[in-house]
Amino acid sequence: MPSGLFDSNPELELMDRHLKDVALELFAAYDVPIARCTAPAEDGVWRDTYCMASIGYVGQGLKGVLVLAASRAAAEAWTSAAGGEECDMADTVGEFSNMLLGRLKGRLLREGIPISLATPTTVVGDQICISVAPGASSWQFFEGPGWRLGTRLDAAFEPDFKRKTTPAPPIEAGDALLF
Amino acid sequence: MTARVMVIDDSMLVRRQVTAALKTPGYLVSEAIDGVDALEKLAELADMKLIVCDVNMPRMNGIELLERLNAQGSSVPVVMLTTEGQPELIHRARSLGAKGWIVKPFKPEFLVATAAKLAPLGA
Repeated sequence: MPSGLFDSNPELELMDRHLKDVALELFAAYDVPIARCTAPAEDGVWRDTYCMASIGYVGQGLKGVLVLAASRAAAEAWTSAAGGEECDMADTVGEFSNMLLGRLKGRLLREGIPISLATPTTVVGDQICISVAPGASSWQFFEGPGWRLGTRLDAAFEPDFKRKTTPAPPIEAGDALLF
Repeated sequence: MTARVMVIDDSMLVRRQVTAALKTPGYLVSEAIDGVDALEKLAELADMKLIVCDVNMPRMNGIELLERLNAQGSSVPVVMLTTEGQPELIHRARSLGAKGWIVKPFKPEFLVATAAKLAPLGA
């Protein structure tokens, strides 16, 4: 990620930093080893990418998409970690993208950036490519034992975008409330 | 004794996780993929004791389903199981009669304890 992009988009830098943290936390919650890694040599995603899930989000003066790009091995490892026996790759990658963006939503709410989420759309196939986003966009890359994951966060800010005074904090992943 | 529970989630992975967690202590678990599917199945299953429901789903989301169940006068307790933790959504669900809110990824023991409280197996 070129630093110049973050220089002109401090909110995207903030969102990207939280995305990195929540990705590490999400997989840790499933006892899945994960670490950040360097970007692939080619543009975009690795050539073994087999599943991509995208979820749109919108807030006041803000809209964008989160994309997860995963290999077959990633989807299989995550399904197994979640206790699943048969791996429906689209379903697994879609649900993990949903949990990832859900966690990010909670973090952004604390930062005064409330967003609403769409439901995931997932594609599966060999040699998947992804277009370059027209607005601000940031890739991060992670790896686990035998698998790789790329996340791309696209964000378009309206000129009048402003962070809100932080509202009541959300409840966190893994928490349970009984009324 | 057993009790029937319905899990409503558009993710098969989550439905299977919930089913596995609740089958172990002895619940009978039915699955639905969204609110529309759930309403159709609930119409045929009169003995439902608990509903575990996602929020963000296509066709009919969990909040809309709560509204529909309220309009029907349903007394089946509903627990929301979701990635969402936003206070406004939680308050909305609570005002519509939801009995609990669990944020994914969930701990199976939390879910089983919640089911035991709202739909005891021996009742």
